[in-house]
Amino acid sequence: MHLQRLGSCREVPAWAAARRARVAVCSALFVLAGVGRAQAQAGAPAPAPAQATPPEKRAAPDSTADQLEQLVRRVEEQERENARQRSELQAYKDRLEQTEQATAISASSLDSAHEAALLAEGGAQPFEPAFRLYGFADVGLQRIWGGFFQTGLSQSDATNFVLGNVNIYFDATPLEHLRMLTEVRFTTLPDGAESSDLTSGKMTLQNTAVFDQTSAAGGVFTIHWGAIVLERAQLELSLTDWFNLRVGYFLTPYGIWNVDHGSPTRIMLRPPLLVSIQIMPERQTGIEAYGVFHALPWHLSYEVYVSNGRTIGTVDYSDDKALGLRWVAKTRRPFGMQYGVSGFYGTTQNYDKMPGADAMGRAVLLRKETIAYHELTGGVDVSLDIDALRVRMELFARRIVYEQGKRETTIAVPNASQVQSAGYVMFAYRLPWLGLEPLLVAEFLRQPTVLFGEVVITGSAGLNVYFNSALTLRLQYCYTQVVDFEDTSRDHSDYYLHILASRLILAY
Amino acid sequence: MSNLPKTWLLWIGLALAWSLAASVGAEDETLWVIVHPSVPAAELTPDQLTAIFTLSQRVWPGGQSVIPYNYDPANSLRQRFDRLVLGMDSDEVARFWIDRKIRGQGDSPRKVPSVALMVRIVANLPGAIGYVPAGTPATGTKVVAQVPRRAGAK
Repeated sequence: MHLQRLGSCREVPAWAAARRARVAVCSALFVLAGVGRAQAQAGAPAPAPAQATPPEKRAAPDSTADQLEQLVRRVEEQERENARQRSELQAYKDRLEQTEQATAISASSLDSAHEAALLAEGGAQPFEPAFRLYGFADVGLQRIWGGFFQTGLSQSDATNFVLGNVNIYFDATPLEHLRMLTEVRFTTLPDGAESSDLTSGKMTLQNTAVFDQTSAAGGVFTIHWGAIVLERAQLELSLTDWFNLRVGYFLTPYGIWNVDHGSPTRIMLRPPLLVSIQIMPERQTGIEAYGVFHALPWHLSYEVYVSNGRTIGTVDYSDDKALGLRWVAKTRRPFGMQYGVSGFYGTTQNYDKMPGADAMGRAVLLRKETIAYHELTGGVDVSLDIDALRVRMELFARRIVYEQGKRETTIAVPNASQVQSAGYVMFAYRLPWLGLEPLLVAEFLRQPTVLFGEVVITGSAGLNVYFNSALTLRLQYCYTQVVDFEDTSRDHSDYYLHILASRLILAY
Repeated sequence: MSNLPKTWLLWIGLALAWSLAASVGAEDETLWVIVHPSVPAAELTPDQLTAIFTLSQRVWPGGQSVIPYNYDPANSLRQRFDRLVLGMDSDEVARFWIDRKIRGQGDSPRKVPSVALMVRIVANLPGAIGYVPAGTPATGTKVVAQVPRRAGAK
């Protein structure tokens, strides 16, 4: 029988090693079967048969039938053991599956949390206030020199490293549809800067050097404080595409340069002359309605505002508020183009106060209006983006009418009522290599003055290097010449200026 | 001269392979623009998509707020969408949004990390709009545009 069992093992086709292994297994099974039978006879529990029945007391199988029975029992035990192990294995599998499910649920929960946050931001959930900080900065090197420097208008003709802008935006949406945008510029100014008295023409050098009493240096340590320029502080109520409101201190919406506002966005480095003379006030305090109508592929937008207008300081002395508007039509097809019209009307006054007596003879500070004029400014602007070519053009005119005896002065010489005009055209072409963009600019300014002639003409060449979307280097050389078409007897040939400037600009 | 037919065959084979690869690439680039079912629009034109995803159009006809969702700039779907719809590459898009911020015009659309989440958000948020690869099971949303556009679409 043993041989038969072994023979049954031999029936399996195999090479020698496998056969030997099977023989060994069958032998082991046979021995175990005998042991198993002895255990059964002793009535010992299956898991610990060896301890329950010592081997010396084991009854030897007395017949083939008994051996077969033992073997069958042993096989049954093995099957039970296998079943137990299968059960344990299944338990492990179940546990593993549960763990995997738990992990998946956890990941799903994270996904859901993200989704919930996004949904909340989208407005489906209770509104989530938001607050963002961003800004830009630029530093560079520049030199301004030439015959015009001898007039005293520029401060230094030496090469200077300059800290240009360090601007921070505080962008908050505390309530749905409501946004507060505040932009400040940190600067070392006014330390060391010149300011002029328009009446006397006297220039004063600002000095912000103070002894730092908070220093442990014993009060001999000097610091130079700088100022914060408030670029804008505006509250916006977003209602629809076509009607929204903005109140506060905002940049005047006119032309291209003033709307682009920051050095990362502007293509040129040097401000156009029309911006330098503030043909419209750079920023105003008031209320503005704005919106856009879609006549696809065109977008027609408008901005209309009422403000204090151009004020000498921050106070408007008149109830005759300034009015302004900007209208823009733009499209991206067949190429990017934008056409704008801007207008402004306002009055400006200034007062002096001096000790005196009123009608009752009481001592008071008497007000005297020293400056009073009204102005009307209008202009057009065009932006074209034709593949890599960018064209920008602005053209503005301003009419100023002074009241008798209440004129502004330029170096103690009263200004005449006049029409000023200024404009520029710029071509920039983005080359396919290294982010290079050369540019050319031509501009003029007609601002008749007794001292400085009638017209300023300027030519510029520049190069922008776009390292990436955030980092840009702008270089620009500019030559400016004063000419006089009305009074040709005057020689302004030495009224010229060279400006070479660079800025490394980072938006963040 | 005997090599001429072989050369021609080689060129024809290369042309066929190129056109096949190009057609497969075009297939890969197909995107569906999906909106919440409450959005009144049945179909959106490329100009409308541009207006929406540049935040020029903020309101649906009827007054509901447009809530566009986008992917991260590094996402290939996003880059494909920017190229096909806005006509800008990654750098131009990044500069576009920087310019908007500097001008004081606000931030870019919200971003979602995955296509699955895009579908779930658009399906659950009235006024939402996003885009997914064509063929994505977009249960609970409405497909309003295909990018690039179907031949013959208005």
